[in-house]
Amino acid sequence: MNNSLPTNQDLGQSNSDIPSMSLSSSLNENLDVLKKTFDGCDDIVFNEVSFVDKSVCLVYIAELISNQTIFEIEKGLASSLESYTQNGPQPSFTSLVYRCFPFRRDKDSKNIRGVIKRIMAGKVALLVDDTDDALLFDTNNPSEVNVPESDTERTVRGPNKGFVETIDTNLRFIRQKIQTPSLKVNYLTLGEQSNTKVSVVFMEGIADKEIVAEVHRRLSRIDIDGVLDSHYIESMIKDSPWSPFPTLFSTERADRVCGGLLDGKVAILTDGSPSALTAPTMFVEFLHSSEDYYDSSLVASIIRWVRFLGLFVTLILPAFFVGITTFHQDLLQTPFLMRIAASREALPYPVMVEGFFMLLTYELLREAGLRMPKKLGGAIVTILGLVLIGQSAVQAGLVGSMMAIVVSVTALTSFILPNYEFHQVIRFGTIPFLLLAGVFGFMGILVALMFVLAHLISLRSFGVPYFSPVSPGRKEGWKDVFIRAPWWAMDTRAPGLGVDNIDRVGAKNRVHTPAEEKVDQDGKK
Amino acid sequence: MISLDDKVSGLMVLFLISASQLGVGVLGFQSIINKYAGHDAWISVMIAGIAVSGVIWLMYQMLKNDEKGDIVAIHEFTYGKWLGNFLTTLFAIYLLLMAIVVLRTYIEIIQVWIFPHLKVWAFLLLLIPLFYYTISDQFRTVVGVCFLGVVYPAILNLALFFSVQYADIDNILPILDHTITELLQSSSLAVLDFMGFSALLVFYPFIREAGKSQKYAHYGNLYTTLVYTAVCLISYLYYNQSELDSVIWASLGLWKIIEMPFLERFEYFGIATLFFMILPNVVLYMWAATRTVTRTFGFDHKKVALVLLGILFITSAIFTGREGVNLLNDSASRIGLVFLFIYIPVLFVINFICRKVRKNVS
Repeated sequence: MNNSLPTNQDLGQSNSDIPSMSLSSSLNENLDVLKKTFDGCDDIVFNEVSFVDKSVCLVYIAELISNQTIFEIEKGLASSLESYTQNGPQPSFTSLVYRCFPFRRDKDSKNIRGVIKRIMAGKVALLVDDTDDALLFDTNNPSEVNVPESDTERTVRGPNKGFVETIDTNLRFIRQKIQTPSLKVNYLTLGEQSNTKVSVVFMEGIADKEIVAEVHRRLSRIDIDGVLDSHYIESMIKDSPWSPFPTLFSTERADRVCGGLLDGKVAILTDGSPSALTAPTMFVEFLHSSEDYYDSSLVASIIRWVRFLGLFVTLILPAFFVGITTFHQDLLQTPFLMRIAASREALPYPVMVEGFFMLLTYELLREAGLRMPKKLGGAIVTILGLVLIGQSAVQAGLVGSMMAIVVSVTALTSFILPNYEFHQVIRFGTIPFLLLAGVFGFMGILVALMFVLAHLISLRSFGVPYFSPVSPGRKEGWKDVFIRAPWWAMDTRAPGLGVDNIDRVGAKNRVHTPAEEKVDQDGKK
Repeated sequence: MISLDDKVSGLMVLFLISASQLGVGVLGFQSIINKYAGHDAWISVMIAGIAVSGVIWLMYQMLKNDEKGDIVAIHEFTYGKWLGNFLTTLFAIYLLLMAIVVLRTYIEIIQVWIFPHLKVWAFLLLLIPLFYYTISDQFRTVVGVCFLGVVYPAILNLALFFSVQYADIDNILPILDHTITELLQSSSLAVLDFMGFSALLVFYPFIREAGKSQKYAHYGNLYTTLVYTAVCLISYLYYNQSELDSVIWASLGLWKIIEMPFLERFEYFGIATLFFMILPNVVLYMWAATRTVTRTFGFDHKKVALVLLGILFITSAIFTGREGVNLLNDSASRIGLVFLFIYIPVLFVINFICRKVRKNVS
């Protein structure tokens, strides 16, 4: 294996940025260092207590510790201070504390970095004046049972933790995955009447400061009486209010948000909503699933191309079929053409009308299935849809069997798109394509396609071109667009986000072959 | 002042230049340029490419030395306000004319190959909103379209190899059978297919570190030259010279022989893909024309775009039939030739003298 350990120096704001000094015996000095480190983390709590000649301070991250725990700690603290004043300096204060506290004690730390690390890991630190030792308590973290899986974005492998509807729990999920004080959390309150708690989360040292400032600026402009879901915020801060395409990524997955944060994005969490928003967002992300990053590179790359195909098929297929049967019959080989002609024999409506009504029927079925009370069960929709549309309509000669296939395939492929919001845009995007193909044939499809492309290219998400890194081309970003490079090759973050620190993984992450090892060592000599 | 946010990277010049050059010409230039040099005309294409590289060099020399760095500023500096603005207006009209030529030629191809009964105005009504959408906002949109307009149709290059199996080497032998004069005469015809790059005079200030982007402009031109030369050479291997006389769109003929199990007529696919090349052409010309007019007279960009697109619509609808389109093509190629190879060098010399004189005066 490597003789030299990978250095961490250039990977974001690494641990080396956290002060690595011994605790001083002055409480105020220690607190100053901690407060500086945790600057911008609104969820850090400094609970200072002065008691006659002793001042102590509890330090912890709010959402990592339950209220019950804090209550018990404070009760223990009060009783230990009481007995300390009664008994005088013997025995020492620290030993008194441990006697009175109902928690397992963690190893003490004399180093401030150790203290910070353990605070991030969900411990409670007790700093005592005149002592250069921090007392740490292993509290019982809030239990993790009954965390729901994300329903809308599913994966086979990898973490499946989905956000819930309380913001503190969601923040805890993030804090547990990224345990560093450079993860900043800013609280805001939005909504005149609803007073909804909103927090802006980002990685200092990775996220672009200007984008963070821009997010804050846009959030501060919001003037609304109630925020009931993150979409309220999304629609008020997105760059092009009229564009159908989402320029903020909404997700219910904790790992997805953390991945975004590590890429230099800003996350916005809303109380009462399980979907978090991340910005800036690029178009390609809507074709990525979390699982891409948990599968092997080769498989993930192939699946990515399957999704590109899925996107294309969803948009084009019905229009393509209409174009072929209406205008461009000579494009097809004769046997295939005969089959289509035979299936369309004696059908009453033009193919465009037929396609439009089929798509409409699909939408009706879908909506009925969604809104139907759960007790009635989805079976009714399935059976009706299957029998009515799939068989009877074709047998009765109302709808061509080819059209039924085309629309079914389209409906199916639309679900390949991993993001629900994006899936909806694309699903409805099929209809204008279909209509244009019915009037202008392939040229109509092309013009519509170019329209969409020109629109996507002109869009921006918080100043970042929406279609980057494809256009404007940034080839450093292509390793996560057309393919999903193995993790050791993901040496830079997505370009164009203006991140402060572009390096993601160290150069030595790949396991080196013996020959390469030798070269490395020779190079060192 | 153009903000840094609106500027594009130097590499994009490659795509802008290529996208502006490659266009409808590629479908039928083979049977036009062989008028003088016959089967050696593919050499003329290369000569034309080199000449165009020279003109690009001249343009860069002028643009580099001007702080605002576009044709409006150069004209004003060289000729003063009134004459300068007059010439700039002529330049804008030239750009508009180029857009009309490209668009009208493409529509004609659609009429002949796909929709014989296509109403030009109806199709234009579909296209004009797309043009307007692309040019009315930021330059970045135009660049994005140009980028895709080079990358995506590049797959059509592969289609050329289908016809190699029917190639007959005797068709181009003996090589260099024509005099230099004949080769040069053919090159002057080939230049029409390279002409779009004059938009460089307008979009230059939109490039980040524009002075350093010159090599990309030459690379872009090189790519265009290679594509044209390859197409030309393969066509001449496939057709003999007397066949070429009776073919209008030789490249479409090359595509016609391609048969795939699921695709009976490849040229449909080809013509459709060609739209990705036509759109950057038209959009870049129209954007450049709009920008020039806006810069000269200070009108609102969006309104100018609307008016110019209106002119584009009416003119394209008026010129109908093979004769009309031919007339357009011929006049555009003559004007372009004069503009690029006579006017630009003259402008360069006058501009150079002006700079020296004023430097000495001050």
